[in-house]
Amino acid sequence: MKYVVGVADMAVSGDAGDEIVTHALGSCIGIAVHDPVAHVGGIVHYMLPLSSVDAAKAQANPFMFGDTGIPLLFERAYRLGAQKDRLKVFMAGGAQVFETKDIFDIGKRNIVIARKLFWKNNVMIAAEHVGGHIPRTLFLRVGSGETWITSHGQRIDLS
Amino acid sequence: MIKIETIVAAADRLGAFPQTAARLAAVVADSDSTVDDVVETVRYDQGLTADILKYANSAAAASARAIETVRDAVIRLGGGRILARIIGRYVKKDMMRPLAVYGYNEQDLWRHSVAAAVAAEALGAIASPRAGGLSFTAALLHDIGKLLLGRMAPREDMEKVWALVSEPESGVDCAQAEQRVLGFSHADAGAAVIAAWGLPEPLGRAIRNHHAAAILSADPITDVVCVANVAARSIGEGIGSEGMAVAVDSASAERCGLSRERFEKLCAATAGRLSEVLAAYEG
Repeated sequence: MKYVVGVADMAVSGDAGDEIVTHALGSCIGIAVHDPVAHVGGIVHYMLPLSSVDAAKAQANPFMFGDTGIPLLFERAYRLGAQKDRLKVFMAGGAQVFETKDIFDIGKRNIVIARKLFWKNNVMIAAEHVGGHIPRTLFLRVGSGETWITSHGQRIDLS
Repeated sequence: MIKIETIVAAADRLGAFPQTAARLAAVVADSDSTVDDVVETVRYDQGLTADILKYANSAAAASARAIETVRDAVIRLGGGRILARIIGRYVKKDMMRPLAVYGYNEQDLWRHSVAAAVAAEALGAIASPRAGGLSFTAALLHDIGKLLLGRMAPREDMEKVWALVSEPESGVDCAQAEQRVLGFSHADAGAAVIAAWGLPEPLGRAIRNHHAAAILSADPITDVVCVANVAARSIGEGIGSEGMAVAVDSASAERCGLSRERFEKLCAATAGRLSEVLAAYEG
């Protein structure tokens, strides 16, 4: 089965036949996790770095924010049998507009919050494709752990 | 080489522009206009008044009580939101269609445009924009030029546009690339269409300059449209082939009273309201 993860959304699967994809990554971030032994994988697509911006919205939809969405992705993966020491983590997105200052630079802050969370929790990022200005789509095959992005019709493998 | 006049002429294919909208836009643009002026402009169009009442009572309007008269609806919504509503209904069908040239699937351009209009509205509650109700319509229509250019421009020309945008570190956005290849951008085309529809000049000016990396003279409506366009993209609406390769003047945000944190609040508020506003256009 193919799961499409929307903006401010998440999907986790323990079915080796599943594929998970999230489109339209601009400044948003897609985090993919995969446990090659348990054959568990998931993707979260968050929009903004910190839930403190709007606590009510974070309560209603924690996947809108990096600091609430990323921990939930890991929790849901653990529930399906994934283990932290086996998890491979991939990150894509975080593009930015052309501007002279950094008022609009949500993409960069989205990248920073993920790196901070991973660093604090001793999680290594296996591969990433972030920054710049391009649109990205992130794919994960739950069985094989194959993870890749596409942008402007080109495929770039992360796994 | 395609000419901008050809693009403007093609706007006729969208159907007759609603004249009530042109009259209402003039009322909204007039800072001395009153609620009665708005009521007087819309009251003789029965289909429109029924729609305004329906909209005023929808979840998108968030009214605490039932709205039963056109006057109450105008007070509740304001002329700017009513104008955006009329024009939104006019362009919706065409904006819903896929636009492969820009990497837009079905609904993408429509959702991006409505998200920008919602952001323009939400900006008033979060910061201190100096623009009034016209800015909602300007945000809604800011990419109207794409709708026409995407259908009319020769494929080989648009391939050259994307080749320029895709060059690593080119620093060229879609509008700048269109300017180089075609001699005018979707923003120029949009402004020309706005003029042909008889809408007030400040609307066209904001649409023409919404990709300007540095806006030479501060213009309140242009500032709101620049911010609203980026907010819509930042919530994932209208990413298409451009991604975030959009030139924007950071000073626009500062002139609207936005800080980084307030811009993030604006994005959260826009994302929160978008589904309600889209739903209000159904049926």
